[in-house]
Amino acid sequence: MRPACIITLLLFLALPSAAAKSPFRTGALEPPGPAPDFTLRTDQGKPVHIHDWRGSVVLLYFGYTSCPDVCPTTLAEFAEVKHQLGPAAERLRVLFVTVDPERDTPKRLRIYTRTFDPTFLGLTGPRATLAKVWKAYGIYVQSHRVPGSSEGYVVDHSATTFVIDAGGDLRLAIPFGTPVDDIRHDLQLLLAR
Amino acid sequence: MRTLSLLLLGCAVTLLAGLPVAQGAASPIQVEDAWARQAPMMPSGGQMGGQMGGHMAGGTGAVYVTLRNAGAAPDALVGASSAAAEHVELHETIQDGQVMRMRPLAKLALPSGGVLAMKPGGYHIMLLHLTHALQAGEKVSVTLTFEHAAPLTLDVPIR
Repeated sequence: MRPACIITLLLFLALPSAAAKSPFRTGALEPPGPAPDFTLRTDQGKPVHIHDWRGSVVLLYFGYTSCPDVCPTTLAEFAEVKHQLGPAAERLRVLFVTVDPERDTPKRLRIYTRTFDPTFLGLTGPRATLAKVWKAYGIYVQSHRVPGSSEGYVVDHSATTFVIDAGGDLRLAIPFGTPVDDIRHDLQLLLAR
Repeated sequence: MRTLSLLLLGCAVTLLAGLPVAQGAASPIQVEDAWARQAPMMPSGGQMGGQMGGHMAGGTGAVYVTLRNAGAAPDALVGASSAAAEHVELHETIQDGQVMRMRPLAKLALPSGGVLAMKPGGYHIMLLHLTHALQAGEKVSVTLTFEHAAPLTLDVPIR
């Protein structure tokens, strides 16, 4: 057997046992590494970097304000999680990075995110800057014209939420549709550290 | 007593689920659930968005209904309208790995005896260019039109 095959086989055997040991119910990222940094603007115009939130647990989601289904569902679930966490959620931050900078003005981002929670924050920037952030987090973004729809265009996008711990490390990738209970469970673990 | 309780419970559930307010007694389409997601009123999008034909003034909303076709013949949901939005479309969100793609649909089939369950991340009724905010706790009136059955107007709770 070639060494590569042996390594592959060992990985196959090791992965399920490693997963079983993880205390997390959502998608744990192992090993944790520093969250890719960025400079974007908040929906109030303030320049920010991801390391500005050191000491907080950050939920980083990518979406757009004309999105009626997946994005509001995700933000409503985060609002529910925050409510369930109670006082522990004081160190929780929800960041909504736009994938539609041309239409998502700071004002739209502000109105949209605050509909779900007064502390949720929209982030934007020039498309070229945002594109680097999308790429760094592996977020697929593709605007798509919709013939016959008065919407003009929709934006296909990855709906994964990244969770960054208080030390600035990427810890979880939460897929769309993950039960609220599981998200709350994992955030409780990270907020307790 | 128990029957009465069940009856009352049934009524309560029906009321909560968005009672059809103008349902013909003979309509084979039964509404099993209906709700709308809260949505804010939004200003127009940015300049570039306007040039691309998608300024999205008023914002967007989504309504989710579960319909049962209790009739013997197949039918289809072919459209919807609401005073709360300038345009209403049937949409589907398709999950492709981690990527969510949204597409309009001309109609949604309702086979005889079949159930059409809309839900977040799947089929939904999309409200475009809202004329007012969809406030949690309030209701929004939505009229569904079918290929064969008479239209149904629902008072859909917003949450």
